[in-house]
Amino acid sequence: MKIVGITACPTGIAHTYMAQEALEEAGRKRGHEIKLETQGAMGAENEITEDEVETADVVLIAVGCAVEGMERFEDKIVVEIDVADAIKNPQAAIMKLEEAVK
Amino acid sequence: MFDQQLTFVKKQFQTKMEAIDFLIQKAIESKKVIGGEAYKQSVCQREEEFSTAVGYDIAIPHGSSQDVQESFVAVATLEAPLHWGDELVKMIFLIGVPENKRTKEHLQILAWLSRNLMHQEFREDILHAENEQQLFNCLKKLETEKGD
Repeated sequence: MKIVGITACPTGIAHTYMAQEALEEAGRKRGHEIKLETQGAMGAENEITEDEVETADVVLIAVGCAVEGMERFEDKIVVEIDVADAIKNPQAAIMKLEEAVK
Repeated sequence: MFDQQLTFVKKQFQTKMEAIDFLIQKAIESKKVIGGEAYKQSVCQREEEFSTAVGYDIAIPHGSSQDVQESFVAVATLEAPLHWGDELVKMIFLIGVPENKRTKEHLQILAWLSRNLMHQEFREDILHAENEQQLFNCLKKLETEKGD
């Protein structure tokens, strides 16, 4: 399936990027296409396009704070998880997404 | 960004606060932080919000405050695993970022370090460093790669 989403944390220095890396790797390992936008201290990077949202099967929000641009996902299946849980157990997060689209 | 004076191998600490205090003291000695009260408060507040033991044997205490002069990472590998909240850690990365004088380049290096910590190969290089020089070399190469 195709996954898009956002990672973010309060200081935007470390967790944001660890979560992105861990989730993208876990997602690819399970055969999914995955792209995660980071909203960190450098602002939004690896931004998801409208087209990518349109074609995504599910949206993953792995955050520890408020994020911007949630209105982009209004009509989508959205799964929210804690950013720290995403880092510790990215496989479980990806499996939760698989469950959500069943 | 990285500084060989801020890399330590096979250290022994009894508690997480002892480890944090030691690394902050070293950051003060190497002039990355002046004073350090505000920085320590910022780090401790972050720990209270949630523990920075992220799994993978790693803790990344971090803070951002005005007394940080330049972004830095102080790194210690441990002789024996240390309790950090509910987790056990073998590597500590203490990160400091200035409140106002942030540079994009430093933030990019920190992001790249964070991503690399998710890779087993990189963690093993860090853990297997026999001395400060080897540990410093593992970190130094991040500055040239930077994820580009």
